[in-house]
Amino acid sequence: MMENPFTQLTPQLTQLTRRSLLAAVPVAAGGATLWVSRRMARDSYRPGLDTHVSISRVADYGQGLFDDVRRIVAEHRIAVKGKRILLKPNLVEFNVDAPINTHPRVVHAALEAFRSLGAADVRIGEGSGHRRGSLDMADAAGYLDEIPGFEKLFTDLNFDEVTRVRLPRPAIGLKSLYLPNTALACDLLVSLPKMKTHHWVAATLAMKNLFGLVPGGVYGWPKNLLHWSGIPESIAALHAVFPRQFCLVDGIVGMEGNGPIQGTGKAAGVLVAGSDPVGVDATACRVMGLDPGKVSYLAMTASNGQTREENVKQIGGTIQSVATRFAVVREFESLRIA
Amino acid sequence: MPINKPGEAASPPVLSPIAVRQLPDGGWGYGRDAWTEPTALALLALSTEAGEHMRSVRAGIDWLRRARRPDGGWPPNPRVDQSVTWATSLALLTLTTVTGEPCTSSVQWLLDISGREGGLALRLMRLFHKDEDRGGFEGWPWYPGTAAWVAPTAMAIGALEKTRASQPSHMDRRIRERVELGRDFLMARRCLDGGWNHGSSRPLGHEAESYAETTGVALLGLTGVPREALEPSLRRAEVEFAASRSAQGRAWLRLALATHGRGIASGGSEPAGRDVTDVALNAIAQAARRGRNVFLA
Repeated sequence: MMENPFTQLTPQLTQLTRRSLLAAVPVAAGGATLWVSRRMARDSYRPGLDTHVSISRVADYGQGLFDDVRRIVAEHRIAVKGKRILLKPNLVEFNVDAPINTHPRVVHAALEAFRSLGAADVRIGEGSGHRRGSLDMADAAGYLDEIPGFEKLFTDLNFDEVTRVRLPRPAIGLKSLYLPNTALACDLLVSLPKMKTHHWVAATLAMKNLFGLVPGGVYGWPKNLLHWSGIPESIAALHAVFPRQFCLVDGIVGMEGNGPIQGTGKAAGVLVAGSDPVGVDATACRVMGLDPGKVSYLAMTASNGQTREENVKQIGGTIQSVATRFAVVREFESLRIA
Repeated sequence: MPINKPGEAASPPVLSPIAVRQLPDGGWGYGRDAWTEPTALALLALSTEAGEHMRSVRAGIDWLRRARRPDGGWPPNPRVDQSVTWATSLALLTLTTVTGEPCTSSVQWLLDISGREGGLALRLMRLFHKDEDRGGFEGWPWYPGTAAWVAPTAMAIGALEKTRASQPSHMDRRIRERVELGRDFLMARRCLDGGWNHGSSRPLGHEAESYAETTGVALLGLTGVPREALEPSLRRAEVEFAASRSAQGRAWLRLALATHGRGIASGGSEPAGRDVTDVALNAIAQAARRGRNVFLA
């Protein structure tokens, strides 16, 4: 039985404050989309999808992280030998006091892990959505100090050569996108997001991190075309373009509250990883105390039912052992796991 | 690899590395392909000392002319089948500055583009959320069909103002009207700290912090605004200049402050210029301080 998406609007609309109306507009639009998308997701089941997701308790960004990440990548048994790998961290702001960007040690540990497992080439790429200077931000975030030869390994995806790609899953007004050749040509895209709340879509994790593949050099800063096409719909569209992914969510210190920029740090002490971005993000949401079935872009893309906990094969730790309730903006209180 | 080293501000000798990085087809880029923005900025920089680099400038101008699309606008690079606002503004500014040739179809393209602010959700947001940004809704978007933002609006104002001053035409009145509305848009989007974020100054009711590069670009679009109205912004620009770790952000601020007659204390470490655009902007800013400001009408 499909839940009526509009029932959750009732308490907000009856109060009729400016804030609640502000919240209700996108929720109403999102609710309609959610109802349709759940049907779409149900009809696009992918047999054979590896939905294993690992949960690893990691207390800090110390030297032990190198062993942790290597073990995590190895236990997923992904084909790495001889492959061209692109690591995609999340670089958003110059402010290094707030946990906005993926920690440089996580990126360094992933680089060494994929190298040690026989990758032919490992590069790092990002196309920041807010500020123009991705390399400047990487510098400010400590990447150049942490990762030897970083500048030679790094591609600013905002200014990479581009190819127009017809979207296998178009969004409204978005049938194709120019995307960076470095991302299109790699054998495996590795999404390395920060575990953060997001004031428009509740949580920003591995799938939302793909916005950084859309070149600002073509679409500007921020990449407003994706907003006009609907943020959840655009996330789903990008997810469909990059089916070969591995995801490692940096939840050692995440961000709660008014994320993804103005929130506050939240030490969750966890890395969440897997080859299925939907399963990884759904699991990370549960760790944060959010119901993934109510996160619109996950509902749209959960073709194998990954928004239900029993449909994701957990390895390593349990969700309960690392669950850390992240504060969210008031509009997303209804997304909390009861 | 940095083009200029940290601590080395751009000066006329730095123009040579710009010329050296010109691609065989006459343009400049971030890698192997030429893009409109670095080509326009490199040409504006070289034009400040044109004599020595005349051949480079001619080849670059030819590239810009070839890259112009039939609709009069410019794409970000020739692989992209769409004219975009900021590339068109910079290319128009460059052709007007360097050659003085009429660019009627390009001016027309810019005048026909405005931010798409009419979505139902956004209109309701503005109606019920009274402390959200207000304005004339006549700024310019980065990409056609999307909302207006600060940087493309300021760049469009600069290009149109320069064109109107150097090439009087039947479009002057419309240019004046759009420039006025564009400036209203910029002033309405000013952050509480005096600078500018990308677009909204109060997203979801939270005060946004300004960005160095956006504050610099916005101030370039506000050359006709009374000094007292801009004083908080100029002070903010000075603060951001001192704090910024971005070569490009500092270059835009240096240029903006020079344009508004504000000096900058010399000294302090200079972040590395990452690419041609950083170095070109720095050279343009240095030239502005010497009285040759290519952004002024």
